[in-house]
Amino acid sequence: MTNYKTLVISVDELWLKGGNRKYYFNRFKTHVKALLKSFHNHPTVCRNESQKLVIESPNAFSQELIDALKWLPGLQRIRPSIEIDSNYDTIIQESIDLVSKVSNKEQSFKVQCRRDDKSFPIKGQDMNRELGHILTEKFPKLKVDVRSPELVLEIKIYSKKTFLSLENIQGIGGLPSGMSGHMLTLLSGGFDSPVASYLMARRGCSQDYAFFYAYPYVGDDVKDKILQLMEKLKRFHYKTRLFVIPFGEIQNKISQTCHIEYRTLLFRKFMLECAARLAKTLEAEALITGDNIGQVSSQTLGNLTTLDQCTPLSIFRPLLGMNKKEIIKLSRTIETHDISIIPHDDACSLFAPQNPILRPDKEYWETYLKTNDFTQEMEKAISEAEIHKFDSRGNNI
Amino acid sequence: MIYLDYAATSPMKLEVLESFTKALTQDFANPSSAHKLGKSLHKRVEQIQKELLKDFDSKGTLLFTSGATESNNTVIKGINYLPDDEILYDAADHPSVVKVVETLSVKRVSFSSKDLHSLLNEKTRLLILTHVHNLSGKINPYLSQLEDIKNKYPRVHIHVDGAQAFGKFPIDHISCDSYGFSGHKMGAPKGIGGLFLAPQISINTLIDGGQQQDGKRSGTINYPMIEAVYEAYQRKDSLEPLYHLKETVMGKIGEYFDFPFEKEETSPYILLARCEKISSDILLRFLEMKDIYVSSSSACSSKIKGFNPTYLAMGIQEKHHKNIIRISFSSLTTFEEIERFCKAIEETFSELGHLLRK
Repeated sequence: MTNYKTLVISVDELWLKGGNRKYYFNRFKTHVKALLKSFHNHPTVCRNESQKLVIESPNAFSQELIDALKWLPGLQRIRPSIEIDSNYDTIIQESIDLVSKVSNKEQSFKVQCRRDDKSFPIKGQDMNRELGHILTEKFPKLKVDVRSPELVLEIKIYSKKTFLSLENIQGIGGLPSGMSGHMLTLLSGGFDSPVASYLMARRGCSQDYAFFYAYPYVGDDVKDKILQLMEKLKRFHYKTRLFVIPFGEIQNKISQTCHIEYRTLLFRKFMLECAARLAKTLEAEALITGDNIGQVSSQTLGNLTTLDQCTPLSIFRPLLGMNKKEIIKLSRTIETHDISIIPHDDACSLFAPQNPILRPDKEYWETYLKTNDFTQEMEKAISEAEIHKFDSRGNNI
Repeated sequence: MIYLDYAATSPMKLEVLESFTKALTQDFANPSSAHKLGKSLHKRVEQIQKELLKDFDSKGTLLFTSGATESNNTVIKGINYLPDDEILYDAADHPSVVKVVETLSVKRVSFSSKDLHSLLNEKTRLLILTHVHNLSGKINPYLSQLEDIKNKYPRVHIHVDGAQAFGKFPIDHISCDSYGFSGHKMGAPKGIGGLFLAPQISINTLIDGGQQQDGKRSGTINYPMIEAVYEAYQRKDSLEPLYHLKETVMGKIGEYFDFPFEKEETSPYILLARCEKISSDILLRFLEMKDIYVSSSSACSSKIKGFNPTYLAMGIQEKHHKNIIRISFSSLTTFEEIERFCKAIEETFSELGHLLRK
């Protein structure tokens, strides 16, 4: 990458915000600044420029910083840029310099110039044509293609300054972290829950995570896997925590007391209840799960609605209507796929009934819950949870 | 703590530690140095080699290596193979045999569960046998026939991997060309082992350098470790009590487990047990919660889930691969430990009763 000392950041969905715009922008800026502090150990200046956030530094920005910014909720795109004076000759000269660094291989390109300052003497269209001509003359390996170019030289002309950029890095978009409140995500080792977490993070939900650890029915390789997933998920948050809640004992007690076909559903019920109790102490206002209707037998309509009644908190299930392939595709996007695919022990295979319940009997369900109270066990599990904290740099602290 | 994973590694014997410490702190000179200190240590190493060779072949050579893995590598990679040559080995062998054989472009034939004699032929250049199998504890039945094999096929080099046997079982009846061992399985430290070579056997060197050990295995001679190996080797266990321990365990946990390998054909140090009702990983963790440690497969490969090619080669059906534990003993194992272990097994099965496969 060229040594870019300016980053021009576009913020997503800003146009939707009316009176909230300032709050929204500041929230976003705080998160960006935290990342700058962590990944760019040099002075920086942040300013707003026509709805964009411009960050300047006397030192070039690292790839590491840009990689971190990519995962920032609310960030639409980053253009690592060169900032120059809005002067015709300078623009031409600097454009040649910038393109010369990538002109050694055959590729198609186009120039995309926009005047923000209409007093600049040459129209954007004309700049495109002129500069396109100059660059093809100078670099014979470049061919103009305005429809689907491999390379785009973007030029933004403001009254005093002009930004040149060859790279356009897509972010995850959405709303800045925390805009939509704080939630607790129930994380497992599979594909679904990390993707659910991502989709909600993108909608401005800051999150903590709960993992129900069925030791000794599963081993610490599962926990290691969850920690690896956290390495990916922590990138969406300013700060986040993982609570590893020991759950083996509760699962065993449930299995000893219930009809075998109700085991899985009851595990899930008590996980949700446990999560709701934990959420209260974390001031999290809702739960997030990776539930997907009909995927496995515990995710029938009957089971999901039964579970909905277990907790006063809302349960958000952003994957409810997605197909498995779509979920897996998203897991690749957020780089959790290769972790989720690692085989691991599954406590459920030991506990799982041959024929799990699909339409729970209301009477049995209520009687069971009335006669089996695991409050103490749940409180104990929460108090014994192992807590992993992650800061904005993503360090496990 | 009740440790029943001695086949993975064993603690240093206290007497060994004593002489090891003395060697580290007082006799630390380099045995290759020209001064008096070095020379006297060199003499001591030669003396130890001579003593150890008595049980193998006093006219042979003993190289000190970093362990059985290096000894196996040295032999397998150190032989000059002709284009049609074959290596005969057992796919159930330790990875330090199987994986190494796989790196060569020499034809390899595994004899596991087949008759070894039917596979031996003029092209067999290397035959690898495991003295005591690391998982099953099986004592190799072919070891008494090596002289005949050698007479019939003079070209074959017979290598024996003695990692689980050296210092525990006699080796003087084994007519092989090379025999490798590890120190840490018999109460010496990790990182030392050896390779016996019969007279007239020469193989290419694996590690070149300062020409120590007559140039056959370079690297500063690790005198303190060598002393420790010798010390440990001299303190052989009596096997009778170990057989008794093993039988007791088999009797007490026989209700929950079956034992795929006969008591008579296996080492008293190792007991392989199969429980169809519960996965070995879960059992292992229930035991570890009670501070009891056994193994669910060879420590080197215990990360692999489910299918285990070594088990398959040992003749264990794939559906049972997740149900195997290895219990291994040492002379440090007491009857009281065994009692507690068996009780813990009983408790675990009663705790898990409602979850077990019917």
